[in-house]
Amino acid sequence: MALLNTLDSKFFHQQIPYKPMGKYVHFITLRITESYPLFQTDGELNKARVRAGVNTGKTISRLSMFKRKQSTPERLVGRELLRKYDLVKPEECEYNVKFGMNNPDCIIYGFAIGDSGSEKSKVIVDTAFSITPFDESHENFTLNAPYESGTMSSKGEGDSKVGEVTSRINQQDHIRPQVFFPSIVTLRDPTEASFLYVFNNILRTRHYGAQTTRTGRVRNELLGVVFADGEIVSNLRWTQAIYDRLPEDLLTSLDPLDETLVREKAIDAIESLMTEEFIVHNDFIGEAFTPLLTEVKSLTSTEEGIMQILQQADQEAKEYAKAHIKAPKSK
Amino acid sequence: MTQIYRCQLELHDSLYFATREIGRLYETEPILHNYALCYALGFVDNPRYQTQVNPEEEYRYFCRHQVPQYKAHLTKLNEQKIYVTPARSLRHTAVLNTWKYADNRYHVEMQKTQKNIPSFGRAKEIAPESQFEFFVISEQAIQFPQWIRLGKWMSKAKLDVNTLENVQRHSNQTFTVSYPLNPLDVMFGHEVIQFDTINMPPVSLIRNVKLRGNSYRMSLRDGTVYLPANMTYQFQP
Repeated sequence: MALLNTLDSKFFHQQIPYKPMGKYVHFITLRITESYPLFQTDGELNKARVRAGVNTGKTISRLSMFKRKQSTPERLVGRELLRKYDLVKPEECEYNVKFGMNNPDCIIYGFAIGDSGSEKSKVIVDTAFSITPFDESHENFTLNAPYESGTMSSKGEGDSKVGEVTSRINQQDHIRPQVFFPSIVTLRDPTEASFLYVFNNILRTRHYGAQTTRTGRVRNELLGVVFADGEIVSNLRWTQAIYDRLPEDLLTSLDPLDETLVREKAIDAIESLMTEEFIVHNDFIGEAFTPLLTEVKSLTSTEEGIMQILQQADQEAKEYAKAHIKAPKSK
Repeated sequence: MTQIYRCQLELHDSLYFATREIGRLYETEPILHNYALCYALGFVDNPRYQTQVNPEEEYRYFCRHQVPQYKAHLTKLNEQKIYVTPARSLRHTAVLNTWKYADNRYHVEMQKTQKNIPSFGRAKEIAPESQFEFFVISEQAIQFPQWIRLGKWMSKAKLDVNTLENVQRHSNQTFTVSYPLNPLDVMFGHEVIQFDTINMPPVSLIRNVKLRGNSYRMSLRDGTVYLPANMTYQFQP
């Protein structure tokens, strides 16, 4: 049963294949920070020193959003939905603890269990780089943990002395709002349901990075999808191509980039990069993408529509698990 | 007609695989093993190169056992006379990253570890824009992909290929190869006189190799390069 009218069914498999079959769909997304997210390891924001543009030889430091820091929140959103609609019980499948091995999350995003085998992920995400340099894209904040009164000096709460100033302060670099991370999410061997499952996860995920904080809001703007028989251009090259297209004074200014402009240049850059690829590809980018995006959004925003996607994905995952992953040994 | 391709790789993401494990530090050596490159280039189990393997050894999304099938996979490349040399770095930088497993429970109780599986560690990775170079020797013309994926995290890399002209074949000569080589693949056809070892699993590589036997001589922009002729994938019996 086809869920979409705007796409030809030739782009999809009828069932999940057990080995790679050379069908790829690439989600072209622009991730835009909307609060102050943190992508860090060991107390420092992740950054990479790379060339500024394809034509601009100079090197700059860019903020980077590691691949797994993008895919983990997205798969957690999908898992949340599967639980909400009773397709996965929390005790049957727990992320990185005990994988159920027969639900859409496990089959599409993969798992690895020492003695029960591993399923390779069909979703591949690459490290995304900020368009603007690190210096213009972060800010240093002082964090504190105030007393009940909202101040940093004690009024005698708990065991503290009156007038004592807390030492609970710290400093932390944060990524600014409106920093742009172009990112391509690749899904191998999609069925219609797995395509929609991943699509929906990207659309719905709102927070990335350190989860213990209340920051980290990021909006995903989908600019298009590309169906191909192979891999396409990298995030880094796309980011550099966008950099080349933006005026120098905007890139070095402290003001955030204008979203409409970035969008326009991002679409222009990806379209021109796609002409350099020598693989078979069908692009739905910019205006050509609008009907599909509208259809997907209308499908995922109703309970009936999302149920259809999840149930279909679940059924395919169950069939796949039955055929290719035998029931785990009972202990 | 034997063709030699000079391939250059540019990393577009940080590359990680464990050459060495030192406690919780996992280190990536800036050398790409030729077995890994065969898989990354898509030469293994591919109808396009007529290298399909038996169903039991097929590459599948689901793997019950984590045992590599190098012999079963790469012998097919020998039959098609495709050989890939290990890659050396032309320029590279390294970065250190910490990784850990995510957990989606609201409440986690610390329990005694039951299995010896690390849940966090530090990885020394090769930074984006590092460059590597290797050669592919083939009887038939090969069409290469433009983008390939490498390493544990499937990092994207850009592949640029040049077909080498004016390759001369010499027999029974003593020559030196500055590129890394897989010792198993050359020692049966050549007399290996001198070498430096690069320790890495599954087969340690050698470089600065002085050997005697048949060779290809190629004049490149940056000097003359020798490669041993008749290299094939060899495995211990």
